[in-house]
Amino acid sequence: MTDTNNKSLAKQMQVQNLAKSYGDTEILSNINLSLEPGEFICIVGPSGVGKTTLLRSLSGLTSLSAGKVMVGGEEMKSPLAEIGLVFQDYRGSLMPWMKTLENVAFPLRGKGIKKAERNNKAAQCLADVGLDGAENSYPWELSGGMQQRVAIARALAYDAHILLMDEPFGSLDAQTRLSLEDLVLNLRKKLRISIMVVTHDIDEAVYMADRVIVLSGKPATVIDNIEIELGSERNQISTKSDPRFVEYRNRVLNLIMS
Amino acid sequence: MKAVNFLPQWLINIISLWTLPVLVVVLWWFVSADSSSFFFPPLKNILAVLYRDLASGLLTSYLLVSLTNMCIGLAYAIVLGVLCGLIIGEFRALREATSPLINFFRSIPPAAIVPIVIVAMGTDSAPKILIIALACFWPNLLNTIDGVRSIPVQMLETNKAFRIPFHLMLWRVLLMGALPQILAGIRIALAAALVLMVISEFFGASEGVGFYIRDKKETFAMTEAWAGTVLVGIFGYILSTVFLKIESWLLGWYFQKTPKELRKLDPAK
Amino acid sequence: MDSIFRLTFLRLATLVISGMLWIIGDYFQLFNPTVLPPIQEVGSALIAVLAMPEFLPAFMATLLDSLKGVIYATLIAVPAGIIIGMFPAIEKATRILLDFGRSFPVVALMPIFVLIIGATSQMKVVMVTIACFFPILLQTIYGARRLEPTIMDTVHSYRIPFYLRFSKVILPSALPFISTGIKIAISISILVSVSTEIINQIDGLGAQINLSRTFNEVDIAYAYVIYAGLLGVALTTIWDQIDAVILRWHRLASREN
Repeated sequence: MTDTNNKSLAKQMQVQNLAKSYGDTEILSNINLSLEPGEFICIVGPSGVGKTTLLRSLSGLTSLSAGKVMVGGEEMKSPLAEIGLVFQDYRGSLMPWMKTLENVAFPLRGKGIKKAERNNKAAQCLADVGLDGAENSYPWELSGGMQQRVAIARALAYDAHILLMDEPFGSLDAQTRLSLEDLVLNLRKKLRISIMVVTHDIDEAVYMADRVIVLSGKPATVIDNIEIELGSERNQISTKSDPRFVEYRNRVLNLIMS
Repeated sequence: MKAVNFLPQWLINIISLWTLPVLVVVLWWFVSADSSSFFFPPLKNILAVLYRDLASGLLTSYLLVSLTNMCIGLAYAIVLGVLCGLIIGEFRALREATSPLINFFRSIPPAAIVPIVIVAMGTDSAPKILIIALACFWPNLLNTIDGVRSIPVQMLETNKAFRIPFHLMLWRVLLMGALPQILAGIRIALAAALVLMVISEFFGASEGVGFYIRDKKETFAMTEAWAGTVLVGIFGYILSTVFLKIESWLLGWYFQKTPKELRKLDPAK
Repeated sequence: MDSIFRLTFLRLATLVISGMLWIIGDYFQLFNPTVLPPIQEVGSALIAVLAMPEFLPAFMATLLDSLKGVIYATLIAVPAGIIIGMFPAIEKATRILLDFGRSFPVVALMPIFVLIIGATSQMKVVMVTIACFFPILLQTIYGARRLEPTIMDTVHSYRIPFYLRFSKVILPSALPFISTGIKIAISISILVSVSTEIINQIDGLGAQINLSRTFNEVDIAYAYVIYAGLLGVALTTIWDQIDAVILRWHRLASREN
């Protein structure tokens, strides 16, 4: 953990007393959490608890009712260049009229980066997620898992050091999901970025995260913050059969079921 | 089906598609061949007159005038309608604020203002272009608004999170996302443009295909009036067929490479 | 409550702003008054027109002839559309003819019809009928075709008699599409009626627009234009209500099955 921290380019993200309501309904209340540079945290909670609302608040897409989000010591007012976003629904987030390469390079174009440079960078990031050779395909020519990789590549190309992912593997089949979990873990290690994943899948959360944050209640608050001490090397078979893994999983499950 | 196995599929297709239309024309030809009725001249004569006036350049130059008016009017309507539609569609408050007004204006039959505009502005091109542009503006505007609204919220939010600047958002995301509906709007506008072109030339003109038909009717030259009407029909058919081809070509990504399915997707086709 | 208030405010503001633009444009003489007269003149003409003896007959003429055309077109197009839609071979054979008919600007037939029938309201009804025929036909075909595979299965496995198949399966499933076709036809009917009246001086709102314009009463002409537009809005709104009733029946029927 500590050696990745030192090398990470990511800034620290801190959430202070965040609250969010729609009309009279309070969804989130008094949320405090932090995402350290290079850290991987998962946010779990029963469905409908407001996980997506939290992620939208953290990405600057929606205004807060109270509290603040600090990134690198400064308060976030609108979406930042440090933060990349990956949604569950890849069909809705990739643009079907753009080829894969253009989809990945598009946010760079918004930054005003020259065409040759942004295409280079996009191709590089596509290679990072194992999609070299798919540059000239349209998204709908790719499988769901591949499309989600494109979405991840786009966030990486944007030079986002903090990756926020909303149920990123929720629409994929089990097989693809496992391989993408490992892909994201490897990316984190290789690129030394911070990642926050919102998921309803407890196994996924415990398997991937350094820390699992459990959200519950109406309005939702952080009810537990669990350090997952399973080491930095994770393996789909050995990690998931580790007795500590089972223990962590049961602890989270108990919190959510109660 | 086994009985016709010796014919290739494309030939069967052509035969089943074209038999009836050809039959109708042949039937018209022979039934009208000996017609002495003033109202229904022989098809042979109609086509002969059509060829004569096209070859002499009279009808060709009229067609060119009509086409030019139509294209200019349509172009104004597309540019303004799509631009306003993208902006109104993108901003909810603007959309809500303008919807009653838009609904009112689009229900006014554009032909109704033909006399007002032509009497005030004269019989040359400007009033006709104005009328065509006005008639074509509403389908373009409404379809563009619908198109922008059909873009998934997540796509807009993703682009917002990546801080895509407004001009890039406008023509790379909103325009492209709304393109299927925009093209459908242009298809509707194309039909409206043709109708208004004809009506405005019926009402007051000294040239154009509509003028030709009305002028021949007034001098009781029935064969010529038929020839002009047939020309407008053929012209309308070619326009809409060509546009459908352009549409499926432009929307390859939307139909995911199955433009042949186009016909099945939309009842208007 | 808050959002209703906001909406009303937004819409009122839009109306006020448009009205002010009209007034300002008029004040600085940006508009040619023979193309767009001042707002207060059009406003008072809207009321004055109602009291004119020729208003009601003209309004009724346009209304009734449009409705006649829609009804005739429905009576011809619905059975034809269902037959074409039921049999793929017929659909294919008629496709090019229908494409031609759909893209044909019906108003172009007006001069020929005026010579054959004369500039009468019958001729107007014929024009409206032809113009309304195609949208209803195409929607009906589409509605009938949607059920194609189900129909084939039904035929093969249950040997349902034709009349039952028609009345219980095809017609109800095509009904929402037919209804959409009729709605499109209604707005087309007003458009064609008014155009025919304008070009050929046949009784109706179109003829009044033309007459008022000839007498240089542009404000009165605009009042008629606005009433023609309102007539279209009113008819399609009424059809939406009828459509809701038909569809409710349709939904209940399919739930019972």
